[in-house]
Amino acid sequence: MSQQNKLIPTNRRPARSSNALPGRFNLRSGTRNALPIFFIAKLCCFATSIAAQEIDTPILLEPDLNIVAAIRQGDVDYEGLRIIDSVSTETVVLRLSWGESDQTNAADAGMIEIPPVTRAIRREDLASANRIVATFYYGDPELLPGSTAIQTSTAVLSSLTSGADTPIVFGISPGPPNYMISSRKYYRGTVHLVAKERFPILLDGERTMVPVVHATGTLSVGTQSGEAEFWWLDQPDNPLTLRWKFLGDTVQVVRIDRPEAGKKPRSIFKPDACRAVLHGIYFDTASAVLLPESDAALARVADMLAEHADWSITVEGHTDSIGVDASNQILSEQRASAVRTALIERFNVTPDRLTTKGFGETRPIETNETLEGRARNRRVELTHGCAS
Amino acid sequence: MERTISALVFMLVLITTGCDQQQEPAEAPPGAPPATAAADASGPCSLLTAEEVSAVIGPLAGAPYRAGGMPPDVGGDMCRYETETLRSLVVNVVWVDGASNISMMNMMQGVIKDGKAGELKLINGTTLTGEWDEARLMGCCEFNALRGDQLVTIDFAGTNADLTQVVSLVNAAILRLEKPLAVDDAPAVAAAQSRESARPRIRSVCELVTRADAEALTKKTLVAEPAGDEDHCFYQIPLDMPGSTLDLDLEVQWRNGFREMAVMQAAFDQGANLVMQAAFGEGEDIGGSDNPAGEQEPGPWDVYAQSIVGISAVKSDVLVHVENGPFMQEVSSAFVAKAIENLNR
Repeated sequence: MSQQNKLIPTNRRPARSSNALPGRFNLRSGTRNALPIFFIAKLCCFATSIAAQEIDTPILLEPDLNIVAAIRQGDVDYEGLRIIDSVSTETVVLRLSWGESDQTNAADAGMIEIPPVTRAIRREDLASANRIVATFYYGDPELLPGSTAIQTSTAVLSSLTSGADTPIVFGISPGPPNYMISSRKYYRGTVHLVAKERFPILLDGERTMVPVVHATGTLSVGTQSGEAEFWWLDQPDNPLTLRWKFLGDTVQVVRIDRPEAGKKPRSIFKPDACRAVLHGIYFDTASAVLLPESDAALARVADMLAEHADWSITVEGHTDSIGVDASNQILSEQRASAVRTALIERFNVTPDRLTTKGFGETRPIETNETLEGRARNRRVELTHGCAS
Repeated sequence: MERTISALVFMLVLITTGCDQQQEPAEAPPGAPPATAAADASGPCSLLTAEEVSAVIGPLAGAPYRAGGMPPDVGGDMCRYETETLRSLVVNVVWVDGASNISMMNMMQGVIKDGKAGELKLINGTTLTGEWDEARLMGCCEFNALRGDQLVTIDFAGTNADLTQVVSLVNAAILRLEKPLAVDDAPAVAAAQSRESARPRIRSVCELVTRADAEALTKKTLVAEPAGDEDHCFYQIPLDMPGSTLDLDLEVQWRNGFREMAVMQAAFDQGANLVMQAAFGEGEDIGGSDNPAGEQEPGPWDVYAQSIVGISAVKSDVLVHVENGPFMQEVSSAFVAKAIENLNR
């Protein structure tokens, strides 16, 4: 139970019932849900026994790259979505927008509407900075010179892979999110290479193994110190932080969706398959509010139905096992309906071609014991012509 | 609207709480040598040498000394570097949990401005970087720099230092956080206390510009005896229209005048810019005063400023101010000049 958010009103669903489909800021523990005024990028690796493909093309820092991180802070469990908003020769700009429920909580806490948070990372810092500012605050300057945010720098990665002890500075606010008392401290120390490893993520909806540099070391500030572990994408031009663990917190990237623009559209259903996970759907925290970043996926569905005029499909909602069964059941139904409604109202799909079902947590496709597993279990599926 | 108001109330509570936070070091910084009564290595004077600061603000009148507010105080939580001309630079250190202070500043920036306003840039567009992990410039002249969980604040409002010079001091201070200087505060405080007697004596403002002075300046007989205290003196000057008077309020701040002048000027400039931006859109920057500090008006003062709000001048760190808007500014200026001439009388 989270006790730390005394000034944050609890107007969400009961404890451990904020099960969420791939979305953000899904708070899942405690009788109160914290307002995630800050976010931390974090990702996890999961069962290698599940079939995974190898990465074929690099992950580029390009506009509309969506990165979903599962975050465990204290006993609070939520997700964060970071979007590459724009890139230039000078900077890469990240965007974090607050979900509707976060705005509601902010208002209830007496705050004004929270504008989107953006963070500009200078190219020179992507090349050489050794400071990572992984926590985002409302009110932060857009530019924190000398730091990266959701990655380390090329120089740090290079130093690590050469076997050197590498100094880093890690700016985070450990512990449960609580914007009233939390503050971002900067932990210093050196890290060293543990091993080069393979790391599973959902890349464009496919379980994919990517190369990572696993590093560890002791970081400290004042009298507080601890062993930190990092898994950075072993891609010198984009060493994304795919996972970190420090002072009891874990942040793990569970999904990366690359932009569709300029790429050959992927078919939703594999040949001869009657069921497919619909990737690229993002919901607000513990709610059935679709985020705007879902539009590309919805457009793909609309295009598919336009191409196959005789098809009717069923939209299914699924949750992970965190929370109360009944609440998960309701949430899965509401989210399936939200997808259907969006397709009808904004993508001109005929209503009689869409039905919905909610399955709550009853049909997991992976373990619910890990951040990544839960992330995969929170999903929307489409079925077409499956035997009932 | 209701939501916005409640938000502001909430924020004000938050900000106030933040401002009340003690700057006193809660404990010695990690790695610092143990503090003793004679040589305190965790005090606010342990981060910058007199030489480093004097290179920026001019020759110091004595060793830097600890102060609570303005008066020298061996247990004070700030360190004051005072020049021979009574300009001063003030250093504060939060040894533990400095990060929460920065969080408060973040909140303030979030409420008041957008994120880009929090960036530290010189007028030429250069982004300021330094040995800090995060930095905020609050108001005109308070540079806050966080490293790890320790916060160094340098208030340079009372000096002529520019931002680049202040950054050099901030960097020097930050790099000394892990190994502060051993400083014996008591002698410096004693010396500063003895220098206090050289400052203008604090007394009733009405002694600075007497009734006779006022009548000579205005060439009129005052309606009543001037009345006031150590902060104000009120003069009722008859106007040409029968029965009407001008109530002139002469204000004096006996200490920290250079700083107050700079802060007041910056606030006025900011307010004027906001008004102009509301009227004409982004990008308008008119500057605030007709005669900003630094462009010297001849007179007995060290610094003088005239604006639509009134007349201000500083001499020997004493701020003299008349706030009567654009009316009778020549008279106001004469009152200010007379008060300054009489400071050491």
